Amino acid sequence: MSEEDFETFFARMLPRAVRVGRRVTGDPWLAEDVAVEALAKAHARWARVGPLPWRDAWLLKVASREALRHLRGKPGLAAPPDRGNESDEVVLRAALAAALARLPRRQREAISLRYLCDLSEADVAAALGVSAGTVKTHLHRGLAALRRSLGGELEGELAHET
Amino acid sequence: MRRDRGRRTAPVPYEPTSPSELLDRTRRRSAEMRRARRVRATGSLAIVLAAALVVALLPGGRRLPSPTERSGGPLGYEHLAGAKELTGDVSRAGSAPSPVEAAVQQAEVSFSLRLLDRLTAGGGAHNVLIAPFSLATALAMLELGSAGTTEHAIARTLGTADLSPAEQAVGWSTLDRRVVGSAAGSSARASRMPKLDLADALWIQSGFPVEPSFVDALAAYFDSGLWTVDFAHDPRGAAVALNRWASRHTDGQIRRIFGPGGIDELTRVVLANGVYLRALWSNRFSPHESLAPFHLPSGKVISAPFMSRNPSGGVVDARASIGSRYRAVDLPYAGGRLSALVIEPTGGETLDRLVAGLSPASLARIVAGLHEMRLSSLTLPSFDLQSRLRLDTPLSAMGMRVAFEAADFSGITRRVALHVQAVQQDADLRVSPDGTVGAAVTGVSVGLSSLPMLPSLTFDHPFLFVVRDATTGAVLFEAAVEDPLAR
Repeated sequence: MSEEDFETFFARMLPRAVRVGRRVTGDPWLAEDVAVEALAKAHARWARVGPLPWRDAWLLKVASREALRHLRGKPGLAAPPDRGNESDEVVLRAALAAALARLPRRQREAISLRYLCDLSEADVAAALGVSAGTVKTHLHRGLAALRRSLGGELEGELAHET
Repeated sequence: MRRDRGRRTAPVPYEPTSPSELLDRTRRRSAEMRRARRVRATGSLAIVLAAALVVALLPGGRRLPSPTERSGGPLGYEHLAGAKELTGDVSRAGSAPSPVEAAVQQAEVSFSLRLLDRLTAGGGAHNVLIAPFSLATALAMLELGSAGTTEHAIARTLGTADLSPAEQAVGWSTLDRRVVGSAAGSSARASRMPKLDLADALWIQSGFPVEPSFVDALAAYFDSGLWTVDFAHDPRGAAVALNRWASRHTDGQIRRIFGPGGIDELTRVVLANGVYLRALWSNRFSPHESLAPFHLPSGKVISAPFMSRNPSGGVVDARASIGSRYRAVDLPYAGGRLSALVIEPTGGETLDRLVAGLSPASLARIVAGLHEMRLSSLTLPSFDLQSRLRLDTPLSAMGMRVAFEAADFSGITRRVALHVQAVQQDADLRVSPDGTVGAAVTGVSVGLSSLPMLPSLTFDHPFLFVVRDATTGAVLFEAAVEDPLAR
């Protein structure tokens, strides 16, 4: 796995990692930071990460985790998004991050990859090393828990395009 | 990582950062992560290291007028995209056996003392300032590109000839990390902690066929940044890029790596190490300096600015020793890991003779002889030294002459013969009542041994001049020229 491979990987994954970061944090600058952090983790472990068949998903998982970490740890950094009702959206994002953080790890990862990273259920299954059926179960249970936490706002947020 | 764009108070329109800039940031962040991982892996054994060995033969050294070549244009270098990742070697570098580390630590101290002895030999009223660690690191990087007798000569000069090249590289890189780690401590007052930065860099002539293993090894062991420049066609532009790097890694203290002749159009590779230290005294001196007599080696007495620690009517506690041959004190910096050791010969001994007699063992004895003392006052001059050293001669004398002449740098490239063109170091050290600021940059330039020798052809004796048709060989004119002036 050479540096050249990494550059190809970087070129392909940078926009997707930024999109995940932006979707979670709502902040385009922070989204770049999130993408750099995730890609740097891949670079630092490239000998190990490079050969992974699900390395794309691995990166997106790391990016979504980084983004959620930023959102939970430093709520101030998530403001302001560049459209919509700023304060409402910030509150919603913070609430979403907090609710996600309360989910069991597998449910959280499944939801992040499926809805924040736009992976198919099959790709999520490959990334998590579980069967497609198990992914469906994690998604179902995770979404149910989020609905209980967040009510109806959740549907709009997860469908949101940035 | 984070950029302050004031977005809380005044939203700035978002403009995506270019992918190439984000790739650069990713690589830098990755290097930080790998460095942090290696430091965690090796733990934090305490080491005793004289971080800066200072010889001030007389106080009041003057800062030279600073060069003003800081221009504002874009940097004249580019990132070499072909740099390779060597995760395997990185982890190997992090698990060095301790006997190797100990041997390299010992070698560094010994090297610093032998070098100082070379530079002070002959005595006289001149100051000497050298950053041995920076020089040793640059030479250790150079050694990675050498082979055969050249490799052995560099190792012998550094005092590490008993170790294999791989062991030496591991030892130097581990020492490098430990020294940086020594600046960090557990004090809650982080703002008073010393700032100690080390940086390594490799510049390569654009298009020059460098062995990938050399670049890999430098990246793995020294986290060396890698740049391509065009020495061949624009040595001045390359020098500007190098100087920018030096300034950036020394907080603007050192603005020049090479003086005239250090690099030229034959230069193909430059290795550099920069070190920057800013440390506050653990116990400050009184901010009021006063002029007092200082005795020069010649016997002359001058008036120099002194700083002192003598709280009015109080006492000063210090680790010191007062013997018949020397007086010494250890002055710790905030954080407790770095300190300055001040030694003054007494009883008619001169400083250059004291230096000549110093060895790692005798230095260790001096340190071991320090003990907690209660003093009425502690006074020494404040000073500000700047040095610009061309180290080719002392290093040749210390055993690595071959590197400057018929060298074997086949580890850098197998295509052409290379030799060391120059080893230079600029250093700067300011000692004040607050603490110490020191900076140094060492540069090693490696170039083509010479342009291929082209024979010249001058016809200055009687000659035959034949005009002929190249295809048929038909001779059109013939002239036997005995005297070109005669008709």
